[in-house]
Amino acid sequence: MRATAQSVADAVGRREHPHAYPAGVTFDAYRGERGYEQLKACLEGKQSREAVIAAVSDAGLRGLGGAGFPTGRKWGLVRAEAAPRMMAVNADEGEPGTFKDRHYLERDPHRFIEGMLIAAWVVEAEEIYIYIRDEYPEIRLMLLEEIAKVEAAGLSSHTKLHLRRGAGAYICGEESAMIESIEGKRGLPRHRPPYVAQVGLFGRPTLEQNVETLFWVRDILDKGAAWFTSHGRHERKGLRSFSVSGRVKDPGVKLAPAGITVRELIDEYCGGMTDGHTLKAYLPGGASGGILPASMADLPLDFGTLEKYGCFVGSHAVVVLSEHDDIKAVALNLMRFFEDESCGQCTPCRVGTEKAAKLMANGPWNPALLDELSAAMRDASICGLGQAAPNPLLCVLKYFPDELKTPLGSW
Amino acid sequence: MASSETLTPSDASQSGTVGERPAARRRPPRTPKGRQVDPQALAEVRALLEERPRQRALLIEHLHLIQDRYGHLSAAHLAALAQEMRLALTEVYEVATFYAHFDVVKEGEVPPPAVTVRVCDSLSCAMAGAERLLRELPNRLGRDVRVVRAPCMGACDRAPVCAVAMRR
Repeated sequence: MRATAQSVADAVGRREHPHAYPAGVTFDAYRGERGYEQLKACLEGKQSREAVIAAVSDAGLRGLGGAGFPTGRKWGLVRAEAAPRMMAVNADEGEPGTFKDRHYLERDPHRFIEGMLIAAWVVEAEEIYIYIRDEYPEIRLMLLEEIAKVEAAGLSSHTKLHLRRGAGAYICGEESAMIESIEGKRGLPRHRPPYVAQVGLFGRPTLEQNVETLFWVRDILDKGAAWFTSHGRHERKGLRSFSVSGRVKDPGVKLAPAGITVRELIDEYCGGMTDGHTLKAYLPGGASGGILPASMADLPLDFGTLEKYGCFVGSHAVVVLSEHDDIKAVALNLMRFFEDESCGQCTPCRVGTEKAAKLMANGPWNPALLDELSAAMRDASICGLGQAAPNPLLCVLKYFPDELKTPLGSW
Repeated sequence: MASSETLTPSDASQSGTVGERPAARRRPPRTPKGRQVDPQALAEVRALLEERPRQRALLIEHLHLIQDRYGHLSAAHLAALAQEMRLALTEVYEVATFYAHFDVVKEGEVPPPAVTVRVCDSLSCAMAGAERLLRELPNRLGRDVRVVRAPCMGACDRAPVCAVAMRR
């Protein structure tokens, strides 16, 4: 529930340690509704790896952590590399505004686990390392219990499962930094190439997937690729889980057609804007995805539709903003986040985010200088954090030029 | 002759001697370089780790064991862990200080209180009043509770978000 000073004081008074909440759908309940039947078909040789890859490709399943890489193609690429091969699962959900992975892990963890074990079977991964963020302790404890049940039932005999715990670092959601962290090191992203599919965990070819990407594998095999592609709006295809927060009546995870617009999302799925708030702007894809104005509220939200506007849908984390939100303050909040979370390895990001935050806090904003700084970060950073950090800033300069004339607001 | 333990070249020149050998060297240090492993800390780390493998990839898992149990990572425990894992202390230190959820406490520093409240100050929570909570909570909760800012905890539909963490 929403925190208040009183509720926090009460929680402190209770002196409770995290404990596992029961999974929304228990292991037995999941098996009761034909759960793990697809996995068993794979393990018993009734399903071919090519058929599974084809189903997932035809469904158009793409990486739902934010990069949107076609899943079937990734499985094929990893399979083409020499054994031994590994698998890493990214449960380090950290993009501000994103909470869909938490949602699915809490409610239906076995649907994700089955998808994970099927993917491991397809690429013949000898070991799977699930990396879960330290901010989800109850989920981690629950997964330990549920994984033990899966192992005891013999469902993971084709691989070996490890659950690893993050320690508070957004950058460890970046695929190569996550691998560094699983190897017991600082989460410093690697230079690519070589890509993780070629050289990943412990130097081996590694399949890395987001939790939600794996969550959909079972349903695609059960219902067919055409079921998945039958969803979609404005000529886009598929189902997407939007994490919606901000100035809407009914925030939360909204399973909606790919290509839906933010206006449709707010009106049809979120009960409309909060009373007394009018749509002014929105984040289409978390802190990294930029900021768009209300005049662009009819753009379809999907991989590939927003890039020409300097934005992207990424993890599908939509934050809705109103006239009560100063857009410069929004952009500064996001830049400070990147400054805090920068791993420090490369100068354009480490120094660029700090300098940008200082310039943005001490106005008036100098568009030419901020543009130049943004270009350095965009062109020269080793990883996506530094490359995407300028996006919100550049959007303010491009889409909200009137805001530059007013002083910095706050909440 | 002065009773100080070390003589500097300037002492020699002030005594007026010219052309003689330089003043005596400093006495050798009594202990080897760097932090030495404290036997008590080593026993505590071994008791925590039990039979778990000491391989490098488990460094973060092992740091969690110590942080969970003691509420922080003391220099003594880090030195003991480095020895157990056959790593240089600096390798352990650089990993421990990289991650926000680890509290490294050097000699003479004060460990954090047993309870930490993390208040998210990322966008959705800032919009929902995180700064007000950050101002109010320290007075409300007293000095036995540490209140810190934290980045997005993935519960933005329930903004503003706080998390309470306790030492075991």
